[in-house]
Amino acid sequence: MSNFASLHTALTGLRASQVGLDTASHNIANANTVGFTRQRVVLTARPAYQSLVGPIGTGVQVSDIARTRDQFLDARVRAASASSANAGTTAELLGKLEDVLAEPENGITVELTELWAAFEDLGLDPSNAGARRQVISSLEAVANRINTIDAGWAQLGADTEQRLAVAVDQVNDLLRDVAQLNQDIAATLAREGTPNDLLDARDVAIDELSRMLGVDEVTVVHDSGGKVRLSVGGVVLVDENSDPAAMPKLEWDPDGTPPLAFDGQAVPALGEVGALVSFLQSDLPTWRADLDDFVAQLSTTLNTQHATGLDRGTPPGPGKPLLVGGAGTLQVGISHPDEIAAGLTGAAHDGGNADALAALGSGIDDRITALVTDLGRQVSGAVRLAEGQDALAASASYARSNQHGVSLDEEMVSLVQYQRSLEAASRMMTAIDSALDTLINRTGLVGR
Amino acid sequence: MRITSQAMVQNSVRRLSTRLAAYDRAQTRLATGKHILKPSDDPAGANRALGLRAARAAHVQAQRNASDAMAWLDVADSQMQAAVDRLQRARDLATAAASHIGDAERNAIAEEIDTILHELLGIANHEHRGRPVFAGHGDGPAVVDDGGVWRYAGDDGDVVRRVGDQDRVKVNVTAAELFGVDAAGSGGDVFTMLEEMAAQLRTPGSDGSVFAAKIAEIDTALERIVDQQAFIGAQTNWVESALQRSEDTLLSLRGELAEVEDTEYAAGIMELQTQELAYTATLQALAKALPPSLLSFLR
Repeated sequence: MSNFASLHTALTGLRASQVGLDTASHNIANANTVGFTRQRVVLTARPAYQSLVGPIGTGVQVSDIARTRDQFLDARVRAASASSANAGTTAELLGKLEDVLAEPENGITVELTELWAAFEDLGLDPSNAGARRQVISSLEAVANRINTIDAGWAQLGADTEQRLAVAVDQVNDLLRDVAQLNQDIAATLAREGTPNDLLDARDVAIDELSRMLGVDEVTVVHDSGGKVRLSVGGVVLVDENSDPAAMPKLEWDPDGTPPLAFDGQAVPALGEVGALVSFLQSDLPTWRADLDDFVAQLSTTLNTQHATGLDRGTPPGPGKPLLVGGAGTLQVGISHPDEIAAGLTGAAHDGGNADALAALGSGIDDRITALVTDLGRQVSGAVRLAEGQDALAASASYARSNQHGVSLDEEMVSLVQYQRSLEAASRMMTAIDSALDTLINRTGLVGR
Repeated sequence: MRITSQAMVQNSVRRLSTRLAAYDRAQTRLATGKHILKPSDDPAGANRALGLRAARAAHVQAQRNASDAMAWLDVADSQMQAAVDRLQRARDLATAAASHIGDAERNAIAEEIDTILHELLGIANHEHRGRPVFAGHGDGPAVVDDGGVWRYAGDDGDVVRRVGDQDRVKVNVTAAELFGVDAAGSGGDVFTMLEEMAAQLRTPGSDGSVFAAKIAEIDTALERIVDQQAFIGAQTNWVESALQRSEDTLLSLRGELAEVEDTEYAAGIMELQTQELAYTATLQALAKALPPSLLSFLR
């Protein structure tokens, strides 16, 4: 056993302490980096030399700078953030739908109330030109309000389409990044390196993909050099063979079958993209159809009743349609006060039809109230769901952050620990050095 | 359990924004005075509120209708009262003519009967705000002299006013009902009767018994008008009581709507104070989010 062996043993201690200090300082520097996983130095004792008197150790080696990641915490966070993004986006979009209605202060109900009052005032004095003109302008106000709401909802649809296009682009960029990182990680591992930072970057990208798309399967493919396969609802997005330069893309085509497709397959998206798609494909069309339905009911009811009366033309004829068109194109069908069929018998002061038109008010009011409160209920439910999902996502993120993140106190302790062991190893080397010095320079100097 | 500083800060920031949102909500409620800003704040409440608003508008309109109805009824009543007065005078004149008086006096009475006829015609064709009162839905005079025959030229339309939820009140009477004229001009009406009476008065040497018969006819005419007066009186009572009910209902509707929609100010102010306190407490807790670490204690 060489005398210099102890020196080398102390040297290993020194090197290990230096690695420990470097790692601790790297952790501290990245304490606030998003997605950073703390790194730990894993030390193992070097193999002992079996001597005649027993095993003599040969020091320490750094076997690994480990990055410990809990997959279950990751999976929990990703699932929760997908649900939270989905619920939050849905609540936001439905809330915007409701805002356009502007009930109860400035919506359709206010204009309808004015219309019924105008009809009743007309019934009081059917030959009064002012009362007739008031009916026409009330009808115009109702038509304008409905057109404005329809236009607002159409604009919301257009804005959401744009937002979805941007989101799809983002998803495609992220998928490409993951494929690229897969290749880089495999290359690093092949070189016997430890790609900790690349792994962190890939995990951040997958987190974002989960939030946006709801990626529900993240598996490390066996024997592929650490490459990961991502899929959502069974549709594989990235696997070990994906080439970042030539990957299929996620595509959105509102009229296509399927509308959201990856490489031709339908993607059952969750997350933010899922919420946007679901809004465009089902929520918005449903509410617009409901509005159309209401407009049809309003027009038909008013027009039918109006047609049973006689206007003041020469000769008097049945009342023409009061409202024509659908929700986006609604217009008043008459322009001259004499075209209002206020009476049923053609007598100059018969206001019977005006009274009948006013009496239609309660049925129409019930219908629009039902529409408004149904939407209100849907929004309120979505908001409550979003709040709940948000709390879940926050708690999952908190748990993961605590597990993977940097605790400054811990790093301080490591610093102190490695600092002291560095000092001790240096002191060790000094001790051996002086022992060797004594041995070499001061033994066997008999008589000199 | 391991706690990292990043996790603590994230959590604190999240709590702060939740607090701030609650504070903002309390402030908005107080500033706008409305508890329900949009239907999703309280869907069931919004449903009720919309219904209450519609009911309130209907009652306000009913009150407007009722005041129009009162105008109609008042006009009808005062005109009918005038008609009764004139017919009473005609009756007195007929009584005088029935007794033995000379032709000269009879001629004078005939002149006055002519005047009374014209007054009654004016009453029959009275207009209120440019519209005939006793012609139903018709335009133009209610009673016309069509070549010596008195005809009713209006129609039998009812002028109905909605003065309450279920109260649809007829507020008019027609000249046909008041004076006995009909569309065909078949006679038996007040005007024909007065014309006959004037003619008889001008016929020299007519018998007093003729005028006694006329008194009976005038009584019939008076009874006709008094019946319609009773009808109008009943309708007036109806409208007045409906108006009173409407006022009461409006008051209670306004109260109910305020309960559903409006912020209760005392509670609102308390809520704002509480939220402010909670927000300040959260801010203070956030300031201490990162407790002193080991760094402070090592050299």
